[in-house]
Amino acid sequence: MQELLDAFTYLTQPYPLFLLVLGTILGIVVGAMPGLTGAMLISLTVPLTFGMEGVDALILLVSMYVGSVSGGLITATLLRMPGTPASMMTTLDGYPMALAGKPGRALGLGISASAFGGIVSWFFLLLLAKPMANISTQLSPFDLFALVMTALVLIASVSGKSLAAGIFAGLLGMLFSVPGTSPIGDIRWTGGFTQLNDGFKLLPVLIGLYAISQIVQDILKIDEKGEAIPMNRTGMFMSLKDWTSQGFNLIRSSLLGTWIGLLPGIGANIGSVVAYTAAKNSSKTPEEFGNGSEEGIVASEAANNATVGGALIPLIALGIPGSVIDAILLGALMIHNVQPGPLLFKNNPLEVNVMIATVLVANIVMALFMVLFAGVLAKLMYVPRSILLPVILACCVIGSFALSNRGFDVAVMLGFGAIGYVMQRLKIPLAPFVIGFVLAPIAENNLVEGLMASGGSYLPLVTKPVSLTFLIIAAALLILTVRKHFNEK
Amino acid sequence: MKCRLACLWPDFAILSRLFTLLLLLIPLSFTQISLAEQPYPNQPIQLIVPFGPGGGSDTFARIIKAAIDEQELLDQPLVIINAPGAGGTIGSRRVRNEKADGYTVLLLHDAIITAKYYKKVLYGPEEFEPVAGTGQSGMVIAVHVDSPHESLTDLLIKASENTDTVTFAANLGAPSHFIGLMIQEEHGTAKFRFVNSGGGADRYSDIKGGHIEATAFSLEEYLRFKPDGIRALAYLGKERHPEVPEIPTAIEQGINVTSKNTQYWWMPKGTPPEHVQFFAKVLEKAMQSESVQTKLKSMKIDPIYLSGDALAQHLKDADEAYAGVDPGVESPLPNLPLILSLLTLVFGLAVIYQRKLGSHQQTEDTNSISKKDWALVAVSGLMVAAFAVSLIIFEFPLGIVSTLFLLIMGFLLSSEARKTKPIFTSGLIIINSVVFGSLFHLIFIMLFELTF
Repeated sequence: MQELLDAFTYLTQPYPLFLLVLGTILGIVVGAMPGLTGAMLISLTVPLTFGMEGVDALILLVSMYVGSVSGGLITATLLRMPGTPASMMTTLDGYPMALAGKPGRALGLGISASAFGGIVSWFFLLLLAKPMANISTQLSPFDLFALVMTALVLIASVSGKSLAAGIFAGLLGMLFSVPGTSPIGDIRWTGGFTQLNDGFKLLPVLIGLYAISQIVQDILKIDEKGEAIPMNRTGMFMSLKDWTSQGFNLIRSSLLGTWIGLLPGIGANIGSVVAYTAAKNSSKTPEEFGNGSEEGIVASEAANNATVGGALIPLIALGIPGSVIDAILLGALMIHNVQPGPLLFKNNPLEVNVMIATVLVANIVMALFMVLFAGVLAKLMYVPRSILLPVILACCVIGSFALSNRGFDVAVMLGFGAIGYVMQRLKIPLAPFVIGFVLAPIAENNLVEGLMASGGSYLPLVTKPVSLTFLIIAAALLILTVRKHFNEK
Repeated sequence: MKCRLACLWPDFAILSRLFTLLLLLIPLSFTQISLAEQPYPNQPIQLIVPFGPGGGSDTFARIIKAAIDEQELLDQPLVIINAPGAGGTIGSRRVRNEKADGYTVLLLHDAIITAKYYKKVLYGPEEFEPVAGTGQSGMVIAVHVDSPHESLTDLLIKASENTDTVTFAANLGAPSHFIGLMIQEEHGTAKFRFVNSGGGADRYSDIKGGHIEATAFSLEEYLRFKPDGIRALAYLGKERHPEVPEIPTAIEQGINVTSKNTQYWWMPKGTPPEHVQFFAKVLEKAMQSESVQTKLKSMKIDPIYLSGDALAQHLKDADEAYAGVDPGVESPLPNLPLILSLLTLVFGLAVIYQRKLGSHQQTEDTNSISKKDWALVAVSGLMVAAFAVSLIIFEFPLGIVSTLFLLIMGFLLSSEARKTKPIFTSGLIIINSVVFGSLFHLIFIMLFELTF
């Protein structure tokens, strides 16, 4: 408890507070601009934090995470363009409501719900992260292997329309983690490039997949323009009646969001879809969904912010990322020598508690900023692309290079940009690719470790209760998804 | 519509004005020109640390760098570059391939020798110029606090009664692995089952969770983990360590194994001896400084300094100690890459099949993109490549190159916008390019000491 108070005290100092506000605002701005995503912002910011103290870097990155998940609702509401994929569901009701002359009301509901969801998930982060980290040593290598496999099945089955495409993307990501050094030290699949001995680095891969491929899309429609609904501030604040009538929906959506975030591998996008569907199914007026339903906006926005706190739990406790952005955060933690797991709260009490505290404070800063500046933010999308894209491109090149001062990483970044663009053209989801790429080495290392400890026997995988449970969940998920798939046909 | 590449380019008048502006900028960015004829060192020295930031080696390197900066022992900055991975071999390979001009230094401890005998890399210390050995840390053998084994002898009795059942967590190919090998070799009949676990924190997890029975820790790691239920069985020194007098040595328990991990500094083979000696002197002065001495004491590292013949003898001894063991480790793994490839192929085909079945439904996916737009993407790609190449291969100054890049890209992408508001848009692009060009220079060159 004392350590958490210290963390909050730390956040009230000028420099950390400045970073927190800066990160939140940048996150919101990037989230609000269609074509720029939080993953892009955060992966480009990581190289800039090399010179910072680890704790300050984490403040900046986590507040960007919170901001970017929230900012998307502005453009989703006023332009029917989700600023980030996480606000996809908000467009369904936010835009019709804004069109009906209540843009202030739509934004106000979204902002309040976002803050509420963020704060609910923060409580769970606070309650669960430390106990989970403490019991994590009880998980044997086989247990961790089974857990990671479950995560991979989960991400493949929920992202994208087709299960086959999801699994294909996940496998492809895993395949790209093969070049480099095997767990016991053999060099494999490097084609003679010694730079590949350590495999493809996460950061250039992510910058390529998420930034470059997006920029290519943006260049292709450089002259496209949206028309924003003019903003008014009527109904910006939720009344007491709103809070009571939406209360149950708020809590359900926040809990669902936190839970989805907690599941390894899937993040904000899925969280808002699930909460939206749940709200629609249990609504007294399901016919309003899609035509400006207040419940729809609240469900989608509460859930996508709630995933942030939820997804940080497995990241902190086990070092298993809950979403693409968490994968980048995992990389940043490693760079700043903050190792997730049982020793985290002991070795880096300040870093981890500040991370947790940042989630709460950033959500509050986010709500304040969005209420005050929603109108200005909507105008951001008029910033010419010819100004924005070159700067981002230059950052991509310099950032990849800065990672370890070698041109090879820049080439990797550009190569994965091409791969990312082709995948998007072919409608193969990117998220399973990234999660597969990040989780495959974790799975392989744990499998090797488990097999070495058992003398080569796979038996512990099915005789130990924990790993068996995870495997059953994975199998059940797979069967359910396939059945659902065939039933739809 | 016919595509003409020319339509993508800004008109010539604007370009010439831009170039005059750039000429004014050049003196600004050339402030870092080095005068090649000055004595060594006349440019920044790169220190490659082959482990991640914050780990033992990285912390050690930064302590030394701080002392060098503090006492101004080098006229040029010492730039630390982390190149982690594969037990330090990623970084060592990189230094091995560098120019032997005295501007690249490697900091790598005993792993440089163990990696050679692990036979996953084919080179060892002989392919580098040893500069100095600085700082040594003691090692212990440790188990879970509730372990039935009260001493190293107990552990070894079990490991020889039931060979290949006592698990030993190690970072394969690194000193933690070779210590276990040396102990079983010395004992004769004992045989551990080595498990590839990883760094100190990973090995702690495995011991703490009861998944693995024993492991080796550095003294610093052991003291850090001890309150959380780790118990030492033996200290691998000639005598007991004053910090932990309660831990008996392995020698006392009849196992004649001592092990200390020394941090060595290396330069590429063929580096002029005067540069090696110059750098060794710098390290010696840094090691003598008060700040280094106190910091190493708190990390339980003995502040030794070795160079010249003493270093050569030390390396020879260490080499002999590690040479006698057989690290043969069989991978228990199936060929995962092959399995993965096959699965990917199967699902790739499944996707294609599925798409074929459903192809008649896909009608909305025909938002055609004009050839002009594709040309724009292609030209942009070329520009990015040119930008990267001019920075990395030709080492042009970052400020100028990025300003130019931003200008050209800005004009490329604004052909439509410039038709309606030519002056406003051009002005905006120019201001943007100059501002961000200088900003990049400021942040990356000045702040991060990035060397292209």
